[in-house]
Amino acid sequence: MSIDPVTLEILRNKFDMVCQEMQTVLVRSAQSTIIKEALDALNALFDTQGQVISQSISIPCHLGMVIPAVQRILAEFPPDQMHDGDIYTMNDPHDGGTHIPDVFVVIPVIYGGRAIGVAVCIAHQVDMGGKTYGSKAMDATEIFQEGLIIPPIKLYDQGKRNDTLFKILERNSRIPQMVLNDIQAQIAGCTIGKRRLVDLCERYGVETVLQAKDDLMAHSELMTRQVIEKMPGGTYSAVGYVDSDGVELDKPVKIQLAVTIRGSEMIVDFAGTSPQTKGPINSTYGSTVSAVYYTLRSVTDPTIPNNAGCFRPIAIRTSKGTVVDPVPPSPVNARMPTVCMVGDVMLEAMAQAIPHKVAAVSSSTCGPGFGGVDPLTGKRFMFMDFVAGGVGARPMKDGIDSRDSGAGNCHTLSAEVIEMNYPIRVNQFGLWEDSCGAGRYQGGLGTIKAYEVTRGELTLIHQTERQFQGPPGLLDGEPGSKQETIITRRSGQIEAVPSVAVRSLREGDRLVVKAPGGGGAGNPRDRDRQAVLEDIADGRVSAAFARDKYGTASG
Amino acid sequence: MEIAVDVGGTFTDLICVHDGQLAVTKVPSTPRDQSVGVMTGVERLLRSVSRGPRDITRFVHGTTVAINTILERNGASVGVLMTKGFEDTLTIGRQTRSDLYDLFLDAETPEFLAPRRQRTGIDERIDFQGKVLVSLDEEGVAQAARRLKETYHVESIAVCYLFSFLNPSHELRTREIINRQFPDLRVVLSCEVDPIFREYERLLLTLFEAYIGPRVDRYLSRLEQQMAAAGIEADLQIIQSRGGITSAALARERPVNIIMSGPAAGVVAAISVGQSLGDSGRLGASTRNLISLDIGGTSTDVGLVYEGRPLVTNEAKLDQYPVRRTMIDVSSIGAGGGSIAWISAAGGLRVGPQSAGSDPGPACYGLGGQRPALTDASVVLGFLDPDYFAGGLVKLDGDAAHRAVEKIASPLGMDILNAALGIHRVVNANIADQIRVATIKRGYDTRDFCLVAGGGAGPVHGGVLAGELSIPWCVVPAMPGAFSAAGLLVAPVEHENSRTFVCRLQDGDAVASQIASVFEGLTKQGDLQMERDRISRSRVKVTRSCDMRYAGQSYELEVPLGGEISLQSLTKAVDDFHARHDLVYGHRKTGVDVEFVNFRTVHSCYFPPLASSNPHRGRSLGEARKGTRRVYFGEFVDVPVYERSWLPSSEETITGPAIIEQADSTTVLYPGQRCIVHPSGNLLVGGLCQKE
Repeated sequence: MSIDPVTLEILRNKFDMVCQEMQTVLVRSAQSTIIKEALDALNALFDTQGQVISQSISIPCHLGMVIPAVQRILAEFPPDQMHDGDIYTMNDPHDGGTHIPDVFVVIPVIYGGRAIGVAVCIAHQVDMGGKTYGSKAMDATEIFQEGLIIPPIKLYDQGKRNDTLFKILERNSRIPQMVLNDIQAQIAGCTIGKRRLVDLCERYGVETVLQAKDDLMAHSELMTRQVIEKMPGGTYSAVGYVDSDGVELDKPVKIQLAVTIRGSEMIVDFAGTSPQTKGPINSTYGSTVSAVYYTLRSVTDPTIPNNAGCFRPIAIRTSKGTVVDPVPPSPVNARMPTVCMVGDVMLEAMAQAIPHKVAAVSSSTCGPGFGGVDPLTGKRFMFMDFVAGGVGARPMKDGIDSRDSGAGNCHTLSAEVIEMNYPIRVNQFGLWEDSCGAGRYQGGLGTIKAYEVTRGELTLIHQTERQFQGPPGLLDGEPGSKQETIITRRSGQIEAVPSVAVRSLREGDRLVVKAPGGGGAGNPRDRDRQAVLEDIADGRVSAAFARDKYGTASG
Repeated sequence: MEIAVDVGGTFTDLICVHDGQLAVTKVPSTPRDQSVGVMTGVERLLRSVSRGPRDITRFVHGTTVAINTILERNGASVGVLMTKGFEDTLTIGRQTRSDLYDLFLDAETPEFLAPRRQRTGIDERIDFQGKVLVSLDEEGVAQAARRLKETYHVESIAVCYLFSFLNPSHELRTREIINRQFPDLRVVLSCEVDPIFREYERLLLTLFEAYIGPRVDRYLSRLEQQMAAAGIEADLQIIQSRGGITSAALARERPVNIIMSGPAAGVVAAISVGQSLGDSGRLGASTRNLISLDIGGTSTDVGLVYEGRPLVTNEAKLDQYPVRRTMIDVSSIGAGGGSIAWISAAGGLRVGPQSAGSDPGPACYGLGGQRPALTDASVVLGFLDPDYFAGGLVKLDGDAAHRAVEKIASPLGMDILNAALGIHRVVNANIADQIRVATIKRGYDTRDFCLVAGGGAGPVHGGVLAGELSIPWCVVPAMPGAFSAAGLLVAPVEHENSRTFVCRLQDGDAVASQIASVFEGLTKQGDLQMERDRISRSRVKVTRSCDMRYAGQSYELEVPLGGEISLQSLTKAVDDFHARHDLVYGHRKTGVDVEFVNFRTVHSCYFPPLASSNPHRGRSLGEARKGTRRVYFGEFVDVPVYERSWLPSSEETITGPAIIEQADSTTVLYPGQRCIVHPSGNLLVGGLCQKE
């Protein structure tokens, strides 16, 4: 059966639109700022073989994370045993999940009496219990300290609510109402996805719809293979170090990988990578895969339709018990520094193969979170903010100031939204002058966000990276600045905060978070003089920086 | 007599209704000062209908001054004052990117509105409850204003302080201080432009207003002066982005409301074309689902009408930047009759976005243009008759068109004819992509729509585009050349006013009366605006709505509010909200309070549809046939040429290939297409797709 190109094109766009609509429904029905303002969530459609058909545009690193979870659900509840009205859920990081707060909701799409696909939503729930607010114990040494673990299980069985599970969820969260609401929001999003997929089957015929997704996957696979084939064959290795695991602060954690390009295939091998850590920066296999996948998408052709076909040409090799493939009961909640480092190291490996088709490294993850009881309302709260630094320079143009890149793509929170909802005031949110990596093309500037506690006492969850080495440059470009976080207590006492840490803050304490600038590209000597002068006039770099890096006299 | 003037990139189109009769004319636009072209056109139109300036009772105008200022990046030099510590809000935005995997993307925040050196932080702070934490540094404001004025010669200053929507005192005081030193400097306050939380989005709208304001103001003042000097007594009215009309005076006060002024008219026009078709079930597509296509000299605008209503958005992107304003959703690309064909470094044929405009215009205008434009290609192919372009108003030079197209033909290794055909193919592919983005990529199936082809060049391309996109029918309206101008005459006068007042019915008995008084204020505001627009109270229809949400949500749904404001009608609104939430988001919540957030009134005054505008006045097809022409469709074909106004008013079918000419446009029927001469006065072109 072949599908006419117009219908195929329409269905391709319809699949994307359905996922966007699911995302909209989720975001607009949710209550926690992490979903509704920061957009830390993803919706997708999968077929019954566990292959992704399409996903919403949200966070790149969620892409790969959904795949093992859906496959795990399909193994537990095979398609021939799925029923209309079933809703499945899970969050177990060591059994297909990512970290405790990421809760998956999966709804089967039944048409003509059989399951033809599933609608999936992953969303970061505000608090799933554990020893620290947000289930983000930056000093955890076992998964059991991190929060409530949910194995693959039914939330609804043919329309009947699993009250037992809901009761357990309610008792295990600091902010249960919000969690229950946001799970409903996830269900609402998936339900829309289910309805729309059924609509498509009604309109175009179920066989056409299923054929279209197969054709689209084959198409994406072919296009990806064509790009890989054009890359010079060989093996390219790179190494990077995560600052620390949050527990053993003096021990950098090694990420080593080798990318082998052979014909139209790519193999990513993590041999040489550190064993799993005591602290919570371990990246579950699904999280690691997602870092490899988004980097693959970036170095091939980003316009290739995003579906399972893109990933068929790639093989990933990890060893159990390493920081990129940990085993229970290792803690995993602070995995983002590792996920970002995997992406950065793979980008550096690819830079050896195709230096003019990659960018210098961008700022890593930088997300302070805050939890506590607001004395004004007497209510508990928890939210994560995201402070992106600069984008790495490209071989033909500067990086971008203050923008999320790589694995992340969360909205930073509006200062007004923070102050209207939480006992925190933002006093500054601006560019970090001189933080860029110098180069013929300069990295984007990093960012400074300054917070002040206005009432009561709260817990700071600090998850950042690159305090020891700024984002590396490309083609003789220099690295960007290193990440810094400083607390100034009300008393005037000053303390630096390590990348992965938990701290207590009180009224009047101030916190300044600085996200790094991006790496530069090309030799700084070759930078256009006029560009340097413009940057000085705009106060983006100081005269001293210009003199030091570019030899430009001031003025 | 009512008159409407729509300014395009190349031509200024005018239409008037007098004693139930329509008349149109077209003059070259004058981009440096659009008012020159407008006034030339008005004089010509008045002469052609033998009327004087005092006969004009209504004067409606669609202008592209605001949008062009943004697209051409030639707005005012703007200074920005923000709360200290937030000077970089413009650069930072929300930090996200629209493409997840592209390593080579560019910044997605509009820094061009005000470079960093022209943004200054001011010591001041208001908190989330509207209380002053740090009082305004008045000396700092004065110094900043001096520096911005003297060093950077700013023409306007945008002021956006945190929480000014709760307490505007610092912004108001800032304007006083600046205007004391510089009385003529335009100071735009965020608390007036967009008094809603989220500082980046509020800043953008404030900045766009500061950026376009001086130019819009100068233009409208100049036009008003010239109208007065010409003896026109009618007030100048402008179409706003949301598709309604307002007075020039109000448009100048709030220029962000007219950013999409020009393009909005085309969508309004498409709706009235759809209405004129009636419920033609046999079209195989709903006449309530329309794609409005307006191909002018410089650009092509595409809008969407779904189930009889224009697609309106309050999350519009203007040139990719978020603009928190209700507007008709129209996209625009640089493709039109004046678009210049060129050869890229890689040896490929490209067309546009650069346009020859109307001066010098395409080579065939004979005004000195040397480079080949789309219109030149149309002449070479035989689509256009050089002696009957714009009704004979502009004599085209066929030889000049050939010479121009030859310039790209030889490097491409093609003959002139195939190069001309190539130009058409490239343009058609570009416009087809644009329509695809507006429809298929948003999940609308083009097979459910009719394409309404407006603009002088619309009917040349409409049929092919419909075929390529599987759109069953392309509708050619009575006067395609004056398509948008006609939309201006049928658009309602409209004023939207809204106010934030967060409350719940559970708050107590006083809520209903508080809400009633909010509406009272809004209604008064709208009444006053209608009064200033000289609309009598009896013609005004007021609709009310409120934005509602479940407590804890940050997104609202708009729910209409009918009848008297009472506990009863508000309770019904809450029920309606639950139902609407279920419809839109697939679920409703029990046990969660429903909040009212914003209250809104829309004052409208609708006008009757245009008088019968059936241009077909002949008796038979044979009578309408005025000759035969050799036209190139890949091979030469002798095709019959018809005169549109001589076509019969009864239903007839013309089989392609054929050419149908009229004063303001030419309809090209490709081989295999057919055209129904519809009793409604429209032409329906179909036949190129699998399904009709």
